[in-house]
Amino acid sequence: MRFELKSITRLVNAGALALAAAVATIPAQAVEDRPAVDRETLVVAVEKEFQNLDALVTASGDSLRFGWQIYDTLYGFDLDGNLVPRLATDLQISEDATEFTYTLREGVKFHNGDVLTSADVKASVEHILDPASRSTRRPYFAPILDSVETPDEHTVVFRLKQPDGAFANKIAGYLYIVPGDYLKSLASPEAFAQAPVSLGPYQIKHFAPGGGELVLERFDDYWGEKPEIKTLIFKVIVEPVSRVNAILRGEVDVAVVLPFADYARLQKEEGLEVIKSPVASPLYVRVYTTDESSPLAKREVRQALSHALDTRSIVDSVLHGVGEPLGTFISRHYPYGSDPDLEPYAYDPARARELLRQAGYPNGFSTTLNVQGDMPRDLPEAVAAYWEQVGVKVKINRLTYAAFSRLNNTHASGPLALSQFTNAIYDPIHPVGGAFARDGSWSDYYNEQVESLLAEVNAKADRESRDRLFRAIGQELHDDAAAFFLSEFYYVFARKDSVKWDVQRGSGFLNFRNAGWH
Amino acid sequence: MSGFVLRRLLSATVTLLLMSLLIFVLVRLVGDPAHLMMPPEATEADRELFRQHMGLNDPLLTQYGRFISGMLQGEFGNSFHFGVPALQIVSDRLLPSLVLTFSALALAVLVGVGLGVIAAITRAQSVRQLVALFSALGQAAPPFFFALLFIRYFSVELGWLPTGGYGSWQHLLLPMTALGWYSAAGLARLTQANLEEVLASEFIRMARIKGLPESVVILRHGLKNAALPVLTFAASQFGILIGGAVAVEAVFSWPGFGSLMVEAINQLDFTVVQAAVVVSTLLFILINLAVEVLYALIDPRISHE
Repeated sequence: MRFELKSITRLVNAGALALAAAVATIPAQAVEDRPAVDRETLVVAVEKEFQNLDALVTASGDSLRFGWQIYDTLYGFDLDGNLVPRLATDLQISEDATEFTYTLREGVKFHNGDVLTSADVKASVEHILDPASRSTRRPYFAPILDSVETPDEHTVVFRLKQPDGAFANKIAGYLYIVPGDYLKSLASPEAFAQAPVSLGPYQIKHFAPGGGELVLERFDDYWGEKPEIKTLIFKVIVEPVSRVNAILRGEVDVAVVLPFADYARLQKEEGLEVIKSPVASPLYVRVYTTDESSPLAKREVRQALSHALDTRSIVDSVLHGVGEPLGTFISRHYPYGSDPDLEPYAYDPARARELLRQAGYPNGFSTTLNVQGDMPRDLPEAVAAYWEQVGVKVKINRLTYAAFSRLNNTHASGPLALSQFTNAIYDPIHPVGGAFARDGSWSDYYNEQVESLLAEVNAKADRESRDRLFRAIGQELHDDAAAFFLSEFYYVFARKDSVKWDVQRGSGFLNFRNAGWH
Repeated sequence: MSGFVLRRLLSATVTLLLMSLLIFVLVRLVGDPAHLMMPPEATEADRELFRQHMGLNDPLLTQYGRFISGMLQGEFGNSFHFGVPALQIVSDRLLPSLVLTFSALALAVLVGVGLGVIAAITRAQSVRQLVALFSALGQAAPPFFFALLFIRYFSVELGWLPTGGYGSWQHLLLPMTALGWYSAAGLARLTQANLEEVLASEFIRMARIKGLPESVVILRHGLKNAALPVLTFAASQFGILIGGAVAVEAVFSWPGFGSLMVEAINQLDFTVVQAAVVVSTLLFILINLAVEVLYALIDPRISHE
């Protein structure tokens, strides 16, 4: 999980560029609905370079895009994020959620012909834990993992130092399986990235780092359902407007992460299907509530500022309708844990002024909103404008992506920071724990009730308990106005009409296992 | 001449060393890559481990020494993000960049000088106005604007050329025109002004009185004497084109140098930034050297001794 602000900005800014270019109004025209190459090939325009094809090392924002094509996991997620068996056929979780036992599928082959055993699973974990790998996954596993045991060739037992009810989701989201013997044969863990081997439905045919293209070829010994597409080509087209043009001209069959500003226009194009795919990670304003001297430490003030925001208008105008106001931090697009009936704070400036008066700020106050420089200019400005209407003056402080990350990761981006994350494990614990637990990496919030609910949820691995507990957490975060929840976040995709492709919902994962042609 | 080239190479080495120091310091002032490379939930201990493994905790002098000694062996270390040698990533981008820049420059010289000459010798007011319009447009609008317009009409509407990518002359046509127009505009104006001035001078009148054919008067006597400032300008365009190419590369998904550099700076990929700056400094040094040698060839009065 990492910040995805850059892409948002590009998306919204691209709208302005597109307008500038469209000197004359362009009538809707039919996109030629036939394959860019042929019916065995799918060409996908993606928004940034693939960085490192070692899916156990690279940032999850990177591996989300190629991981499910080249690699596979013990359990995985279906299109809605429910856990389903993949390389493992069975999972047993101990009552106290500290022991996770997977039974491996038999006869599964790696791209190099090796056959999957429990030793490969252990080696994959060790690859993550080895500091020399510089794995971005290490922080997820190192603190909680006690041991990985392999009692026989097809059984793997993960023992944890403390209960973790979401551990099965972490395994499904982060632990790609790689061949142990092959890893051992390499000169250094870093060398794996140059020639990655796994057991996913595709293997790498051509890749030059930074070269703008990744070509994958179907792996014929794949254990699961054979994909229809033989050759999968990812073309890197960084400029959003150029991705739109490429699909309009039919040079690519699918384009991902398109500008919000083009959503309505592309819907009118014949021959194109435009998809709004939820990422289940809200755009929100992080609040430093633990600083007692700050007005924002007071619940009434936060409630007032929540009532002062017309999030529906912000979604409609700034985000071009590609969004949805939400009542709490837990997105409606998680498979469990969100309460669909929880309404956002109503836009009510009079009530906001009244609450501010009650809290002892009849004349408002001044504060600062830190924004990563690439965020769409109008988003923080819209937020600031609404707050000024109830007397709260907001200084917008724009920072570069690098500077913002450093401040935001070290509890120095207060009192307010405009933020958004991606979801990679389909369990609300990740964003909620990070943003609202007392010791969360990007949390400056403390709420006793949330704290005890989080402790409870960590010890429960069953879905019903997690659903109930997260609903309670969501309700409390709403009532306490723990942050300012602006909108659900979506990606906009487009595909040619004759492309068969069910998108993965509720996360940033790109899943082309099921793609084909009608 | 060879002594001159040697001296220039020596001073080039100094330039390169200074540049390497500058970029080494600047890139470290920008930020800490550990925050970008590690996920937000990483602890300070995780980040510290990362820095240690990247050698970012060593004393600056040690790091700089490593950078310089590596540089002398053509070794810049692995890219933080791509995990492969930084120089390989940079050199992969070099050819596309040079192709784009030089073809844009060639187009600019051909069209710019051509139009400048026509405007200088024609008596038709309308032609002069057309050239003026061409120049005004080229200098007023940024290259990415033309890039977007071209794609809109020539690719999406008319379907003549691809919207972007790299690999054939069809891919090159639009980006090179979008990029070269600005320089062509400047060259047209400069050529016209210089040529008009030269053509009004005494020795041209003399040449005409001698009865030389008009083509010889204009090309041999006129243009050659007007060429020096034009050459200087054209050479100076090289840097502008490499810089200006960033936006054009982005719009056309051209796998060039500029977009790589911007991305590497954003990502704090120190090794790639360092390799890219060193390579581009070398490139500039070579081009400047070539231009100075050209000066001497065109105008023997310029002595480099």
